[in-house]
Amino acid sequence: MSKRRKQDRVLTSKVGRHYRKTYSLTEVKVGGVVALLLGGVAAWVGWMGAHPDPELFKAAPGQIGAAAEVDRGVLPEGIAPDGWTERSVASFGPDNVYEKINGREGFYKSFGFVSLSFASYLDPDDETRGVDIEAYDLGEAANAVGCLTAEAGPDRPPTVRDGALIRIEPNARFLARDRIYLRLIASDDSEASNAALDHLEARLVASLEAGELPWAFGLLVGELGLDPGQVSYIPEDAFSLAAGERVHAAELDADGTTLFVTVAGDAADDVAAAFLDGFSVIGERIDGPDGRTWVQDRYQKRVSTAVAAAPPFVAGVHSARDVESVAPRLDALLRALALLSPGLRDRALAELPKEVDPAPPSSQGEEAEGPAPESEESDPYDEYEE
Amino acid sequence: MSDERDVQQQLLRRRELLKGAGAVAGLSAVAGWAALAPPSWPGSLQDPDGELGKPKKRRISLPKGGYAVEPSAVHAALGVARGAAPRKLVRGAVDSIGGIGRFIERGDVVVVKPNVAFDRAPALGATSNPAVLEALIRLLIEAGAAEVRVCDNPIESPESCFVRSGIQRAAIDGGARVYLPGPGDFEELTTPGATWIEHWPFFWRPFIGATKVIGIAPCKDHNLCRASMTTKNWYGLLGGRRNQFHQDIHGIISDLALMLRPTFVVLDGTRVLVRSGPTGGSLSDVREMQTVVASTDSLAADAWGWSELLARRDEALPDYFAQVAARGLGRSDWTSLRLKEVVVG
Repeated sequence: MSKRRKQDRVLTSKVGRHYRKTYSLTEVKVGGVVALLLGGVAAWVGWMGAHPDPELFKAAPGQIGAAAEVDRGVLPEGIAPDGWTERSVASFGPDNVYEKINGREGFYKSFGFVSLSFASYLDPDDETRGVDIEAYDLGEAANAVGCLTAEAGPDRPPTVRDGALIRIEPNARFLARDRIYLRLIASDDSEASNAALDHLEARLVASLEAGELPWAFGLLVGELGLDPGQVSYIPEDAFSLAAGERVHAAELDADGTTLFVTVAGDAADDVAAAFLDGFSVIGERIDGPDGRTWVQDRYQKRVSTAVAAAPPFVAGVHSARDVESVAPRLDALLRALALLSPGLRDRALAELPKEVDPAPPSSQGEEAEGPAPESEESDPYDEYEE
Repeated sequence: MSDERDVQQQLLRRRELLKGAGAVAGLSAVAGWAALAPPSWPGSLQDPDGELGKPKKRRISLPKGGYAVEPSAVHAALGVARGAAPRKLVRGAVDSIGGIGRFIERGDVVVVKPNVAFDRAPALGATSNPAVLEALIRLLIEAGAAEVRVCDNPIESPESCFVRSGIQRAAIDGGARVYLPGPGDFEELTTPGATWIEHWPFFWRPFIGATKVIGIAPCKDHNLCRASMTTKNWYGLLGGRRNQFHQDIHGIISDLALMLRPTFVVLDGTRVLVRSGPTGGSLSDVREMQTVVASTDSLAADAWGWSELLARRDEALPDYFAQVAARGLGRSDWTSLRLKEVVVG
């Protein structure tokens, strides 16, 4: 190798002397640039370490201890009772709600589950005392009310307060606020827990619109005078007959006699016939003394019927002891449907599936067209508020 | 001169060349075999679908016959204790089926599986009563158990569930070790004959070296399977995406009965969640029944709970009872079994 070529090499082959003694100015300049670049990279890494992307720290759904980082859903901030601490906040969708309520999620999904917002509050003076808030967005007010009434036990039926449904338990509050079903659950029924429940309920009521109760509440409670605790909502496959959806029902007695009504549009006759067919699977058709066709089940001898009424409605009776005692209740329901206020009628028609054309308006149709009028008639809850 | 010497040193002799060529040929033949031989031939490295390259999962099995003790012709199959004090309730129920000495020997390592499925206060009945659990642990230690391990795998945050349900405090106070599930605590369990969980992740760590297993489950309403009691309780030992089993909830409960044969089970009927299960929430849905059941037959204990604690004797049993009974894993007609009932203080 020539002397010049040897001088070109930075690394030498001599043991103990690996580098040239001298370097050209260009080499020093290039080395300086490389050193600056490396320094820049090191500075960037250091800066990124000190300012991480917040996305990296987003809590997984249900993760404890990351309250400030998760979606609060419908739950407002800063609602903790005085002296209590917010322990955790989480939100869940249809795909992961089982992580919170494994085994129970199917119940809420049957009522149109959209999302669950959860928050937990603890009393620092007693680590065993706390209140959990579960806010289920169920898409529609009918689902929220239906869910609340379905979970209500016989001992403490729901009532209407401030235009919305509420159920008060020794350790809990259950509220339907428009499309939101709220469950406020305390760990015990102590005075401190109930004070916290009252506080949280007030804060949530202030932040969540009451909305309107389903139209059938105006009919069954407002017009027929039934108790809110008797009313229920069956979003799909009513009475397991594969006949009707979105059925509003009222249990008339502890025996199970149930009055029901649904909106079927032009298909009212078909839906009524489907109910009769469904009842007939385990019974025989009989001509009732009221001139209607009833079905008597062959095991318990209970009677049921369904009729197309004041189109677009279908009304009926499920599992009554006899025709004579329940026919007047059905007549009253049919009369109330025929005289339904335009406001309630419009809201009932809004329950029709979009692809089904609503039936022509009734004799009150001209008034019923357009938005519901702001009249006393359109607010039937005044009659049964507590 | 030195250059010439270098050249000479690099020259190969004929014999060395042949040796080298032979070695290369041999290596080429081995490599060719490994690369080209069909996958089933010995030494083949072919893996056309990538399956052979996957890491092999370790599969574990529970002891044949489970953790059950010898059946007894003398003792009752179902022991029922009614009363107010949890310690007397547990002792009374276990005494009714032969006493703790029948089941626990000195030095036993006992796994106790409560239901800690939800982040709920104990009063709401969604989880095992911690006072009953503590009483059971004390009884086991008194009988000579070398170690008692309390474990469950809630889908909700395990730490939170164990604390709020009171189970962690009760286990520690009673003298047990609490095993919370971690990612490395699961192994694939083989359950021959199971429909859904023949090979499924199982919360294995607490079972390492265990000699006895006892389930302690609350009696409660369940939205899917209508009632959750001692057989359904083993669901909490599964890992993986077990929520998919809700498609066939009765089938999976039947598999659970096949998966784990316990030493005995305790059905905690001190607080019975009669509505809105399995999560509950309202004290109005909880009935104070002050009852504890012990049994070597999990299905019989469940059947008794369905009839006497949930008071659903007029309703048909949930489907899983027939499935478990058809596999010969229990008796749902508890009235045909020997039952001993005691009232304690």
